[in-house]
Amino acid sequence: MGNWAFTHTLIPVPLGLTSEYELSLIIQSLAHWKITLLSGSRQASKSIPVNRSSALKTYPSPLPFWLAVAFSKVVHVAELVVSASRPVFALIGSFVGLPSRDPYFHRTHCGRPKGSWLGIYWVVIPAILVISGVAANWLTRKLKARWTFPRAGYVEFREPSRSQLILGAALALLVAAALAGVIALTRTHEIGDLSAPAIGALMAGAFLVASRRPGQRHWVWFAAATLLLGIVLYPLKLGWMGMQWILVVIGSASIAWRFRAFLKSVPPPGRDEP
Amino acid sequence: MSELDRVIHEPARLLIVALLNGVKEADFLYLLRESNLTKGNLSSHLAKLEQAGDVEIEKTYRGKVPLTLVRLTNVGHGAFEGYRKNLTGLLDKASDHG
Repeated sequence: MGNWAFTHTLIPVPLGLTSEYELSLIIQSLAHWKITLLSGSRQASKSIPVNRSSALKTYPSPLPFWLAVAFSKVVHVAELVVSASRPVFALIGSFVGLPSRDPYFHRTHCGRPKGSWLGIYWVVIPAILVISGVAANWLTRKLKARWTFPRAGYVEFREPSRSQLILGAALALLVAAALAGVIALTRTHEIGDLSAPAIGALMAGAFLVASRRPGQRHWVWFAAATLLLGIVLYPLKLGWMGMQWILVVIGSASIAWRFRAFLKSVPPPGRDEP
Repeated sequence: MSELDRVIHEPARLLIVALLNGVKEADFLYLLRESNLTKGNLSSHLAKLEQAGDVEIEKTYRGKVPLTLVRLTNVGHGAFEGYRKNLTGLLDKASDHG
């Protein structure tokens, strides 16, 4: 009972509709990730300079710095925001999935939320997807401007070329299509249920490799926690969502840890400029 | 050796130009952190690079905080590329003779 309650409270996967909902969630996650990356890659970063010489009197021109895109090599902020937005999606999904636990749902809608208020799912979710992608970027810029710029300095890297962008988008689509294919072909929980321990083991391996670097022993604990979480999630039969929850929990924790370490190791300097 | 750009050849300036070559623009603090130079040292090297036309420096403000943005000019990109080619050629020649 506890298992059932956990599964059906956190995940919008009613029995019998597993493939469709999980598929949509996975594709949404990937699309959200891609929108976040793409919408952040082509933003204007600053205004036209007033003068270009250090020898001349400078007229202050406040930059729209909150529009600045790339800051230093501190990359954890973006990942933190994207990772933190995933539980929001899960919660939205839970609310949307509530009516599907109605015993008549399967008979009335045959597993497709058509012709009812549940159809709103297919209208609202894509809109939320786009808005949240842009909002995640906005939040990332705010956080970077507040926390990383004063500490590590500002740098804007060269924009990726059009071919690189297209390649990235194509890769994301391919991964989504591959996952969709696997889920559609299997249509069972069995492979999905194995995703949690499998991704747990993979991530634990990556953490162990990271822990071999000097001063990075703490990743051993992350490896242990990831492996444990993968094992604990397996008997809960969460399907592919097990993998999602590992990514959310461990991803957020590890990124937050790295960000905290950055804030501790790089204090904000004085305000004097040459 | 005479073919090498003396402005870029100095180790600290070479480091600055190499850092700037990989980015669109960076501020003084970023260069300071990455190069591990002192503020005065970095400032004087940037002034020399600006004199040579290799970098352009934009002084502005972020709110009330002064901000110095630095970017490599087209001349600077060309000079760095030329320096890289010349040095590589020189090293290749040296290894051929060795």
